[in-house]
Amino acid sequence: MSFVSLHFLVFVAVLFGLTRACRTRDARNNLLLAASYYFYMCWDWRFAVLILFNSLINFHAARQIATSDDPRRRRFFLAVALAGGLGLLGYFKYANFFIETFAALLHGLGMEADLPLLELMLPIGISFFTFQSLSYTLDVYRRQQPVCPSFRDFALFVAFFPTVLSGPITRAHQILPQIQGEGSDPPERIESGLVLMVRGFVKKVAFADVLGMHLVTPAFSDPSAYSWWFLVVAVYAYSYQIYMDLSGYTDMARGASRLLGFELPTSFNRPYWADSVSSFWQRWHMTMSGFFRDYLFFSLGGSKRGNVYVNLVITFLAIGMWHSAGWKFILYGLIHGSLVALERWARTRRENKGLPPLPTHGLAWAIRVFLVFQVVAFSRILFRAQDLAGALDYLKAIAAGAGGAAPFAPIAVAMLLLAVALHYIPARHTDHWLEVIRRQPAPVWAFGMVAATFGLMALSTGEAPFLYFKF
Amino acid sequence: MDRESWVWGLPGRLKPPTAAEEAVASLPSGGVRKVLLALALAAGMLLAIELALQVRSQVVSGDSIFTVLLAEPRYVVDPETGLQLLNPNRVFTTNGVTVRTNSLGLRSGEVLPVRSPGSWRLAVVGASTVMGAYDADNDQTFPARLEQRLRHDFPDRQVEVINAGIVGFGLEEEQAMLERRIAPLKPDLTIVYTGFNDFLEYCREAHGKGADGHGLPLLSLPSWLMSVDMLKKNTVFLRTSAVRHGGTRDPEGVSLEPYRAKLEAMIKGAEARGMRLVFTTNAKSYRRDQPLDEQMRLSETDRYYTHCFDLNGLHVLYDRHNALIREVATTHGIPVIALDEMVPGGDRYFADSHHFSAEGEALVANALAAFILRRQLLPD
Repeated sequence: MSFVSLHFLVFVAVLFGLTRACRTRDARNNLLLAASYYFYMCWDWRFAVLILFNSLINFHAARQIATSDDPRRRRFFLAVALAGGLGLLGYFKYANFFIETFAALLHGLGMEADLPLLELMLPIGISFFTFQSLSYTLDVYRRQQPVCPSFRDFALFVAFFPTVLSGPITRAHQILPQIQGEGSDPPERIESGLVLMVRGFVKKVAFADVLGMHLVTPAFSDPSAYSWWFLVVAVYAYSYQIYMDLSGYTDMARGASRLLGFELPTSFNRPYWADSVSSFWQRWHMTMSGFFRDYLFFSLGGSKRGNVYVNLVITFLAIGMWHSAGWKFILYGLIHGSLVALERWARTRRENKGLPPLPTHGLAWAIRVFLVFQVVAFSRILFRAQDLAGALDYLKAIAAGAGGAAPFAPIAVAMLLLAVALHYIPARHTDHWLEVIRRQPAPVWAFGMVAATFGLMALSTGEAPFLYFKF
Repeated sequence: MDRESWVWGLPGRLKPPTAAEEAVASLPSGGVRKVLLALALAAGMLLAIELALQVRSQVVSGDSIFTVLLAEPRYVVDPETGLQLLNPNRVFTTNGVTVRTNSLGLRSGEVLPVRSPGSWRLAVVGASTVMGAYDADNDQTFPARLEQRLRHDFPDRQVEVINAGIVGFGLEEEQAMLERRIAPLKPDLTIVYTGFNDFLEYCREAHGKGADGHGLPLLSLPSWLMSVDMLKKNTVFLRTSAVRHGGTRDPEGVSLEPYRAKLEAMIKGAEARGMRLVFTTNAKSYRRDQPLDEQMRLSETDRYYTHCFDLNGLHVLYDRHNALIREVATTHGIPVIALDEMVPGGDRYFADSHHFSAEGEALVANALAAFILRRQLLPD
């Protein structure tokens, strides 16, 4: 069930009504758990077993860890949970990559091996619900999270429908207390939840899908057919497509949660304002990068133990690999990890020399923002291309400076310019507009809703899934 | 280790949510009623627009949701075949198109109960293109024109051509029509124009269904909503791309094995009943050699219905299916008439992307007659 579908709107509306009618926390949580599994099973009922398995193994492992003071026993159950969760993730997501790599390695050594590839279908959202459930066990192991006494509540935390497919990856301490509590339900939640849902819907349908259909998909499908400037614009368009797509999904997830009385963390903070690659990762998909920071980078020693630069590169390699198996994602992680490490080295050197920090405004700052965006946008060619060879072909087509076709659809150009403008307009202006919208009377809201409904219906292709579903 | 420090090296806490998000979160209380009122007003406006469009349609064309609710239904489930056929022995007029139905639920003349010696009986099985979606009268459909042409050429023979085309039919329904309705009438020859309705399935596959169809069923907007239909039909250009590879589905990646299996099943069913078949390839109005703008204009209906493919994707899709029809028919020794090559593209012969204009119907009827006679496919 897609977030941008009539079915989802009816689903949320019904659930909203039913949860408000629930008199007890137990009744509400039972209802939400059943609804969350129903939501997931709309995609594929078979893989609901995987969510249940992840929930069971992490719930019981965490209990064993929490009730034991024996370090070996605690480590054993942590290993069980990690092996269970990461084992399944590895099997579904990385098995074929490792088989292919192994076969290539044997071939390189002069041995031929006809290794059969597995016919696997990636369960949607597996990276998200695996990490979400593991974060709980890891926090319990670190004694940063009390054990959850109710399996039902824990299962709801793992399968909670707004987050199960594409995040935001929530931590147990963020959502379990809300599940276990009676929940506060101030009336303004409805307004703000609805506004978030509409905003997410607009981001997805009016921006991400339009940019994808008219600019990105054609350019990446056959780079040799287009002029270099069309390819460059498509690279920028992809950056806005992926931002609007994932942040749109996050808005809708947060909006739907808020309607039901739950608050989810935000995941984006104007990422293309970043004046360094490090800053970009502070602003981009923060719940995902925060997971790697807390559970991998710190575990490796962070900046206190070992070599911080190596730790950073390893962490970013894992971030690249988290998206999918493949050398292009490894290279993507390597590029970003190396740049973040380089920035850290330069900053440390600057501090050691007693130089002032880099300016956060003015022309020098604007140039840095521009350059960081180029790095982010062009490194995403790896992300979007079919494989490494495809990414190379794309870059070659740009470098060749060919003057082929440049079929800019007016609607796509307009949406790209609008996306850029909305991103770079200072927050005080958008705040003002939101306030103006909020103050309008109900008939104006209604007229806006009708216009938005028709506009989005006209633009919606209905076929473009959210980009992060495949991860 | 400082848990608040962002490990990539920048000091301090993560920045809080943007001011815009804070503003959203701090919308004042007491707004619940306003939201509910706005939702109710919006729903009322949408309902009013839909009602206005339905009334307009009823006045202009005599066809609307009111007709479905209050008047006789145009389509009914036929108890003998289990297929949804036209309501028998009725006359329906909408948008200037008059459909006269026979007792078999077909847009065809009454089939004679007794055949005279030496008579010819043919049937044409298919979907809306065969039924004649845009033809003002039954006599203008190409099966009717084929009958007129054969009668003209053979005035001493009794000739019947049964139009067994029903809007929306795919290969499975066409096979059922062939076996359950047409076979008992013992035609000398049955022409199959498969149509393009099976293509629609490819976009349904792509549309958010669970993996391998293992998802639970989903709600969708009812097809009779005129406001949605009008809006979508008039904004195809916004959702589809003129350039290559703009579709969300790769036409080369579409498996034609189910289509092949259905064709094989239809042929097997016909052979088991001793029926003689002729296949046609599917024709369309847009061609690769036309200017791009013209192709885009002519393909608009196809891009509306088969919205997961771009223009190039539709060309490829048609070519692959026509090639498969040729291959399967040839394997079974069934003649194939290449209508995709014989009917030129453009407005002259087509009313939209794939339905024939009056001139197109005449051309197809003549081409079929010439083919049948040249190949001597009818008994002496």
